[in-house]
Amino acid sequence: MKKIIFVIILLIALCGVVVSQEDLIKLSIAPFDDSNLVLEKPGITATETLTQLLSHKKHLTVRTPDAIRNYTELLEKVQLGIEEPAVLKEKSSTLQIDYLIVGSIGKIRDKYELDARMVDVDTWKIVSACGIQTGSVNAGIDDIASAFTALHKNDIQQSLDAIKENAAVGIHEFREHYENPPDALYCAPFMEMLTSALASKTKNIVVESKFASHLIEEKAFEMTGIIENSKADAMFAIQGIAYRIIGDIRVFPDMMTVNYKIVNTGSQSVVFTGSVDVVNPSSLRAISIAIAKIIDDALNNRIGNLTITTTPVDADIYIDDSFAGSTKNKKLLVVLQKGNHTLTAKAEGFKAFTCQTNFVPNKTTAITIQLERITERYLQEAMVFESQGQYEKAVDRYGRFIQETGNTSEANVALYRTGHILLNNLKDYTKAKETFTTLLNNYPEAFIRAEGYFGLAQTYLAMGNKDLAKSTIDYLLQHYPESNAAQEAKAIIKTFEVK
Amino acid sequence: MKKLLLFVIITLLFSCTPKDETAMLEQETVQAKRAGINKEIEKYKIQLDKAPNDYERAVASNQIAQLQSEKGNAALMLEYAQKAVKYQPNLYMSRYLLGKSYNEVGRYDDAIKELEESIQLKSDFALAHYELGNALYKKYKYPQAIEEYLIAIKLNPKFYQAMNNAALLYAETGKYAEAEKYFKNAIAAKSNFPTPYKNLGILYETRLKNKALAIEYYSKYLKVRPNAPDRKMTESWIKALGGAL
Repeated sequence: MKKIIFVIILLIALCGVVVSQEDLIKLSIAPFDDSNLVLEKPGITATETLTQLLSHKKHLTVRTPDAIRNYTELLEKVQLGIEEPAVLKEKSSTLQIDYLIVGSIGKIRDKYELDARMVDVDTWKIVSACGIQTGSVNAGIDDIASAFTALHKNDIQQSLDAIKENAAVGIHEFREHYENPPDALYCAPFMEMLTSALASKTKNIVVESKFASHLIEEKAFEMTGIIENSKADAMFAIQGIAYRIIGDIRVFPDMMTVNYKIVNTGSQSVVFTGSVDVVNPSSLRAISIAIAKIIDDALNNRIGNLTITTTPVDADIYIDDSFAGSTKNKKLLVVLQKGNHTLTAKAEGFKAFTCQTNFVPNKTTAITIQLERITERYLQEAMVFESQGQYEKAVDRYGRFIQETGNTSEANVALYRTGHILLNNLKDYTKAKETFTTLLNNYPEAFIRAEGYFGLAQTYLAMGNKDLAKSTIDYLLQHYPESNAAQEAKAIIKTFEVK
Repeated sequence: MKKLLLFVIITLLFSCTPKDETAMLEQETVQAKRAGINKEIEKYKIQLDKAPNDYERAVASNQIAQLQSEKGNAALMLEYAQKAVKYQPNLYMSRYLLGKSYNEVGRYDDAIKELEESIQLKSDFALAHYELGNALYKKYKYPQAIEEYLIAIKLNPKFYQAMNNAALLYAETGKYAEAEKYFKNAIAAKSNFPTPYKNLGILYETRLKNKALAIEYYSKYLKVRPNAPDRKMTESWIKALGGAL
């Protein structure tokens, strides 16, 4: 009996050990990157201190940095572009750890900026992150130790489960632009801050930036100008990163601007841009958190993709009255914010198509539009009425034609004729002015624009406003000197001078 | 629901930073209004409001778009460049700025269309050819992009950025001698421009397999740009090639 009880107790104890083993967080700490603090070099001490502080916790198994030195040295070589990323995959199984804490120590003005992130060694997804601005490195390391100590394995798994359906995000690069070298370089510490903020404050899976940026074809030629290497998206997409964040910091004598973009690596399209003015560099930590929240909101609540195809191809697409692009490459990809939007498609010779679309974020919605060819019945009727002197009926038919075509390029002639009738025949100068103004506002590229200015000038003259008439004619002569309207306008100018 | 709640709790638990970041952001925005470039933008906004005609409105909008371009604010640059084109479609500068804006926000087809308009209005406008080269590069149309960069260089023989980019595309298309020539031309045109030094190092190391010259140009890059953000990485490349620092 005693033996049986002993065996049961032993089994229970063994089970307890097994369970506690499963609950253990097995980790190690890579040397903190202190390359921006050449004189102080606090990285090694910080790594050792954090290792000591975490080693005393029962739910953590901490391997010393020495025990995984070969791995971290290899890791650094991969990060520096000397070794291929694949070499890390082979080594991680022998490490006896699940997580690696990577971090950095920088300094902006008189404050230290400490960032530490716990990453899964197999996937390089960040499972926990902490970013601190502090007056002393030791105090900062204490805070980081407290934060990681409070973490339990179940929490890690459950928080990862909660976001597993969300898109993976990686920070690619931030470039620095300045006329005169600033006191400090901001891009590297800002990328660290933003990575920590994205991992700790948002609902997205964040791939460690040291992995995302450095392991992806670092030894690539550098393009001058605003655009980066064209292969970057494909490289990120291969790594399973759906969105990459790029940006720059532009330093002016009295402020700087942090610009950032979210690029969808699959469609290779910029889906969101933002910009923040910063006067005090010490605020960069707070700015990074604010930007992380904006990125989170953009990705999860505000934006999604809409693809539009039209028959015929090469239709102009307007979203909420703003030109969004054309379908000349068969399909137009538009990034939209959630909610109701008015979509209009216009093509020459076809009726404008307008519809309302309720846009759902995080999805790609496809819309196919079949445009209907314009019949010129109303236009022909209007011309007949105009030639017969039935001006009100002519204006009505021109109006119907304009309504039917929905401001496509065909409508500009109808608008001009309407203005002409209102001015010369119906003597309704207010409406004539409105019509010519609409013509000029809606058709920036219409060949009839010069005629529109001439009509507007004549309307002002008819309304007794010589000053506005003259300035409109001056503008016409200056910008459309070769047009027929300009020649006619010159005659009017002469009558001004005679009077 | 429980999972979400747990996530929120963990998120809050790990909030090691101050909670007033939104207030900080607002404070920075207020303070930034006093900065020189923002004051200049405000000046042109007033000019835009008071402009007597479309031409003046287009000019003021162009100025704002240009300043937003300097700041790197792609959204506002696009907004004002679009306004400029609406007010006055025949200004080459408006078309150029709109094309550049489209490049900034990744709308390369639209960028190509606008930049071609700009070039139609002013065929000797080197910047438009350069920006068109950039748009074509992003559309993987390398030969056409090279052509545009070469026109830009012909129009402005000191256009070192166009030389760097042309060299880059020569390297990508396997024309290494041409690449080497144009990287060197870029250095000759502006000796303190760091990018072609680094690019030449990469060209010598990865394509022309000349370690000595690769080390030489990586070292020159660090000399020209002592506080390079990628200093550590470049030093490691030099070390890996057997070079001394």
